[in-house]
Amino acid sequence: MNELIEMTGLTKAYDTRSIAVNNISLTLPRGKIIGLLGPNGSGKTTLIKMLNGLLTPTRGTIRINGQFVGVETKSRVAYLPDRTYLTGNKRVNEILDYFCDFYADFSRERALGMLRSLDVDPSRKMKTLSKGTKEKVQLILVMSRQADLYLLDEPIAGVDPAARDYILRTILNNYNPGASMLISTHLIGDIEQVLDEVIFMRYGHLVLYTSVNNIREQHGKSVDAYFREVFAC
Amino acid sequence: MLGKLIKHEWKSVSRVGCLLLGAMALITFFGWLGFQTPMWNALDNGGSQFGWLDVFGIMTLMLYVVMLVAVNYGILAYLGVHFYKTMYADEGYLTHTLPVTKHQILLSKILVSSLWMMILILSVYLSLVILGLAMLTAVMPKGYPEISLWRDVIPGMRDILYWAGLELGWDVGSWVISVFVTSMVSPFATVTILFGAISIGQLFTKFRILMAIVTYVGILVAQSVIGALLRSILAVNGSSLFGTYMNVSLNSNILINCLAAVALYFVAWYITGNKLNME
Repeated sequence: MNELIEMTGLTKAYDTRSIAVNNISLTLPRGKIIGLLGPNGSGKTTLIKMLNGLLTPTRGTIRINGQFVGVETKSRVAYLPDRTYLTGNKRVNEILDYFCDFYADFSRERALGMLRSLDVDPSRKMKTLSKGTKEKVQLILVMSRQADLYLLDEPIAGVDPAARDYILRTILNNYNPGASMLISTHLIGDIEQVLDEVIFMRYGHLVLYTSVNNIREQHGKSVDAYFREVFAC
Repeated sequence: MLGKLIKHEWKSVSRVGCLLLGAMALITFFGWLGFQTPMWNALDNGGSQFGWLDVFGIMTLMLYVVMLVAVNYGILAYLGVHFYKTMYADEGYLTHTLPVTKHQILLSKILVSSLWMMILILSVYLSLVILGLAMLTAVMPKGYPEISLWRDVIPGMRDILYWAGLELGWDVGSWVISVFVTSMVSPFATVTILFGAISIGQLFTKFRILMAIVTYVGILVAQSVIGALLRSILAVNGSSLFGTYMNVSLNSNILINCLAAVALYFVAWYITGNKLNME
């Protein structure tokens, strides 16, 4: 079974006038890095949150590894949200303990190795770290798991170019090749090099799902250039 | 997984819990200090001295009462804020992506929070006992041995309660048991009702914190109204003696609290399982 995610008629409406995700049906394979691309407000974050169980779909179903979103899928999905979700009072060490306790696929050694490479002392409290370092610590926690699916929501937004390079390097070096990764972003130029496939979204609708090679061959353009053409104002 | 959740929740809450216990110890010390002024020692001789130290003593006792109330409500407010932050604010992104069931999440939070409330309530009782002893010691006549105090006071209290029971139709024994049961059960009920109200607040698209507070106040008002109705029905049925009223009042409060807590637990469970909307 090569399908990892199956979405059928997936819809999320916050109210009758605001439909964030509108009737999306899509099957995503294993072993791919997929860019979830679209302008602000296109429904990328909403889609990722539904895959995590943080939002309840208004209609439709999601299956990951053939199972509906729940305890089983959460044990196989690693999620990086678009915000800091770690309490400032905890030390990095305590957070590692937390992840070790709850995720069987979490590697403490790998996390410590990445923290060392960043010169982050694990005995430091989260609140003493800079915003950029906090984001890197969160990424390290996510990439220290041997998950089946990685969901990264805006991993490179709001960080400097050097940090972007670090983040992309960390993603590529620690990515489980048997897994899939869904990366939501609107900074396409920076991330295009690592993508296998792309999903374009606009106003909650699925506009396009294709491979990066296909875009380059059929349209003779980079993903970034093609994106600008499709979403031209 | 429930054990692991409880372990981490305990670590997370105990910092503020210990801080409040420390505050209780400090205010108990100040309360005790309030009874060490000359005014109290003069009472045993029927005298009346009142100096600036006594003003300090009275102020300290008033501060004690205020602080006692603050600690009691402080722990409830803290537990509410902690629950909101870890369930429905940014930290909820981690909580709800853990591979655990909603029952496990809710139970761990309710158990740990209730235990801390219980510890705080017991510390309040202990503080009151210490202060009561400090007062008795302060007003005791000079040369009156402490052992005699216990010999006289305990049987005296027993007699008072016995005669009160006879005169007022008050079953003191069952009332004391009810007070004990209430002390044990009410932290669990209070916390569950609070968490249920916060969860209901999340159903609204805007002003979620405000709506959680409004819901909590609404539940408390509804509980009071239902309790009053229940007591008046029982009173109409011939139980109008003060003592019977006391027993019925406490028992009906326990019953209403428990029913509300069970209902709101399932409401919170349903909301986190089927209506979760992390924005």
